[in-house]
Amino acid sequence: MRFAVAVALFGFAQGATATPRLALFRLDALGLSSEVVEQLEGILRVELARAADTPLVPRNAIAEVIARQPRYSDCTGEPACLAPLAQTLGVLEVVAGNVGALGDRYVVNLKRVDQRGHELGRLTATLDGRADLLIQEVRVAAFRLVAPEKLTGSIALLSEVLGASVAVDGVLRGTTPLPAPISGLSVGHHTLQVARPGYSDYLDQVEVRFEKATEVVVHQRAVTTAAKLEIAERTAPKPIDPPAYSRWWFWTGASAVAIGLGVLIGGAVATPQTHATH
Amino acid sequence: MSTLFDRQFIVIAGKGGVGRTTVAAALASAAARRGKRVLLAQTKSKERLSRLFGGPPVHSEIVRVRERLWAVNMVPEAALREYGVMVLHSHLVYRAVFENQLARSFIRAIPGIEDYSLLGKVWFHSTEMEHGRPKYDLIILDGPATGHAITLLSIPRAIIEAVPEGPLTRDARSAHQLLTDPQRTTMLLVTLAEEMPVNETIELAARARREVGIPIGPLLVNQLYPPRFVSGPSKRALDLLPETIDQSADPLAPLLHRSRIAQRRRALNERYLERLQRELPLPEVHLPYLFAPDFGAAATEELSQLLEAQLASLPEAAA
Repeated sequence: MRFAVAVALFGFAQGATATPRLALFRLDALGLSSEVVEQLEGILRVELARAADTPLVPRNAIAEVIARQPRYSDCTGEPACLAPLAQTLGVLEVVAGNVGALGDRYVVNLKRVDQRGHELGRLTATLDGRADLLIQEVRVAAFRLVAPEKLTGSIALLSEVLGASVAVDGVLRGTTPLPAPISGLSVGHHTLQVARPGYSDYLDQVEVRFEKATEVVVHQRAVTTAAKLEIAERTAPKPIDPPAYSRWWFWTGASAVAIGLGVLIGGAVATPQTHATH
Repeated sequence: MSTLFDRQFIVIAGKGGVGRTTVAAALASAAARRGKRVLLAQTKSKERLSRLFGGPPVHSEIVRVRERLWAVNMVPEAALREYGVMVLHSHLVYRAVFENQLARSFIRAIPGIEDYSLLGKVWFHSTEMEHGRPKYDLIILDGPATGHAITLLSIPRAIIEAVPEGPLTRDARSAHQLLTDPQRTTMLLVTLAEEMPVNETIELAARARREVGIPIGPLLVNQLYPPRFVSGPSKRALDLLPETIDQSADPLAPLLHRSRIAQRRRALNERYLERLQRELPLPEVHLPYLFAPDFGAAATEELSQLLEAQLASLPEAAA
């Protein structure tokens, strides 16, 4: 028991002190108050760690490096400056960028550079200033930058027509009713097609959002008489099987058994009488 | 008391597939019942009005479909011709100008001209007079789907801003005044209480206000499932039953499936009705899903009466 606790604690300590592989250098403010940028940077820090699945170098560690080597304080995203910074911080990659305002929105430019000075990616994201959307949008931006392959969502179908084929972007994904939402779809618009002979085709562009299931109600009408009849048949309960006593074989069998019994009883009764006469 | 039926121009807008045409037909029918002379104008639609009204087919010429109710399915080519004739006041001049091959390709190249011809035709009918009074009391435009509707309605403003003063800008200014006048015009958004239509409707309302400046009336939420199995004993009973049962073994399996679908559709409807009230606070008209095997004139009439009753019960400012 004590050993198990020790192992668990060791594992926890290992997780907590895992070596950071990524650093967020800073977000430069382009005509914005530093308070807003600090808030955005805080959200971005959390989301980058989540997307890259690694802790980030703490802010104070970066501040210490800048204090020791002031040349880094002038870095504005050039790979030639960020690469040695990554080496000094002991991380594989550094993210840096800036943020400006566009009306009531924010425009964030981010760049990802490795320790050899290769630019691994960059993006520009326009973020809605509303608090309820901001975190989600920063999250999407973080995943887009460091783990675009994880940027997926799903489509949940609600269809009344059974046995209809479901295709997303022309790829068959099963027939209705689907046991689970169609997952692993990249964020953005996808073509959803649901078809079954006899019913109108359902075709629509469905927006897939990150880590969300878009609920799609599939509207299909029966167009052929056969399909209309099938709906009528499906909705009406099936006739219950008639009871056994209403079947011909029941009475034939019962009659045979009765005759057999009669013969047996008749025989049994007649036999003693025969003996008596003897 | 001014109601929705006293407007001159009603634009029906919404995502494709939400029942715009059906609702427009029901509204037109309700207005005609109230004694209004109504023109229902569609834009390049599939011909469905003959079935919805149980009347003659509706094409690019205005046709009377029932008492006090006319309909037209506008196509850009015919609308452009009509508009050209109106502007040039002569068929001969129109032919010389518009049917010249070179001129035609030039005209076609003007961005938005086709859309403008449709809107221009509708606007023209709103100004038509007969026996000293407007020919139509109310024009209902069963417009194109979401994004295209905004493009169509924002053309007058674009013309006013881009084209030098002249006959074109004069008409565009009148059309724009009509579109933005809350006494004369209302846009009705039709939606389903489902995720994608609700998303588009919220966006459409914002764009309509921002880009067109058109007044928005009550929100028409269509095809709502009846509130069955969502509370009380029926819900508890359904919740106690297994998720699915073997279709081949149990004759009640299809009933269970249908009940679950009904329960989920209604639950989904309620979720999105809440979202609509939160994010698009407009007075609402709730229209039920009509389980009709063929949606024909009888179903249109039923929907029309439900719509009229609910519109009448809305507060004056909303209606």
